[in-house]
Amino acid sequence: MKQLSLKEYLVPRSLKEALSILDEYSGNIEVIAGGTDLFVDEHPDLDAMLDITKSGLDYIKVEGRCLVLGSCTTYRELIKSCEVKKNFRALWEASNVLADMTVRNIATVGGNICSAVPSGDAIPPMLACGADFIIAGKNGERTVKAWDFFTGPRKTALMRNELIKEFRIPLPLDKFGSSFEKVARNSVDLANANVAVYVECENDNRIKDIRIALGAVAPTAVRAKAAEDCARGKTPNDEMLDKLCAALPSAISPITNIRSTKEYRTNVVKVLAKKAFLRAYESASA
Amino acid sequence: MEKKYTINFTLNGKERTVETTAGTTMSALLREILGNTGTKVGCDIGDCGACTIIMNGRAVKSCILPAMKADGADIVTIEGLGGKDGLHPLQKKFVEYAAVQCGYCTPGMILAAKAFLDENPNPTEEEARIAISGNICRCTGYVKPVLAILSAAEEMRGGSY
Repeated sequence: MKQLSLKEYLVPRSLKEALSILDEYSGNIEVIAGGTDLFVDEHPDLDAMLDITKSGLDYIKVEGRCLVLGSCTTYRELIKSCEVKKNFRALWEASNVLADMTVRNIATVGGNICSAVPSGDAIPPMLACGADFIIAGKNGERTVKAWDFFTGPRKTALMRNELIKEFRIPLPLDKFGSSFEKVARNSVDLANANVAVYVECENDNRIKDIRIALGAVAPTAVRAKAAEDCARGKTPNDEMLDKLCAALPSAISPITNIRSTKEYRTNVVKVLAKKAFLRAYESASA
Repeated sequence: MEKKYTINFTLNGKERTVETTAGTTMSALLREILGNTGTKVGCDIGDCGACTIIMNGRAVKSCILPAMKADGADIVTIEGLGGKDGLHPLQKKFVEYAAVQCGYCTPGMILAAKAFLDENPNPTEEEARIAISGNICRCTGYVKPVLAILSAAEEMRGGSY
């Protein structure tokens, strides 16, 4: 929708230029990437938007044992990437069910992360796979772990003159897998609940490490650490899975809203976590 | 004071230079400044997809697309498809299959399908449905549009469109 109050739309051609503008602009300026969140509602307090999609921040590469995603990489590009499908399966699966085709064609993973909505589909995969967020500011870069980045609904650890440059996902040598599950009212809606699970296995297929991230069931996406502790070091069986699912509600504080009820959300995270765990474990133990 | 920007883009194969402002949407630029009303506005908040156009080969919703993003881009709207001298296979099949009722979703849906078929010429039915997942239709129940898209894909595989 038209932004009636917006005065300026700036398009820097490099990260350095973008950071300079962000630091020096005297009015209210907001970073825009794909615009599929920011350009929906009117923002009467905004003087300017800083479009960072031409600053060279869209890339997917593997550097050593690390998958690196530029913050302006679109979901379309993530879906087409064999590297993402193989090494960051949870994000690849989330990319395929996020919004709809016309949104995925232009929306960016950085934009979804920075919008920091509790139900953001890219967020649980980032938490589950232990992503490092590389934040750039005028004076340099700093790293924030995914699970330290989100401080509340639509609130993040970003300072006023910073933006996310890239995401770095550490990759073990082998025997790891991740997956993503989501339920929504229809195929293009926000999640009622979404879950990402990451599993790493020993050679004998005991669980070496596990991370479970739950979205849309708390003010921010959360790790289910008690549930993770049930599984770490174990070989999965029905009893372990039951304990894992039973430990999930202690991690969440869902609400009842237009999309779903807190009772449904509390129950469905167990179903999603079990499904996601089984697929991630199958991949890790193969 | 609103700043004025001059942007240059290709619209349906022709170079255009247009003056716009920071907060203008692409749908408003197309409809109100250029007078191309083939692109419809339904919800104006990026949900219904009636405003879908093709930018740099990708189907996007123009009501939430800053007009400024069109600078340097290749834009295709429904006016760029067929016309008096012949219809694009998608347009032809939508008519043949009675996939048009009120017609309001149709331009956006056809462009979403075209952008998809240009890259995926042999889709499954599931893929065709995902291609138009951003286009809401209240009339047809999607059955005829999907059949029309699959039939158009078959015809497009036979020629050069």
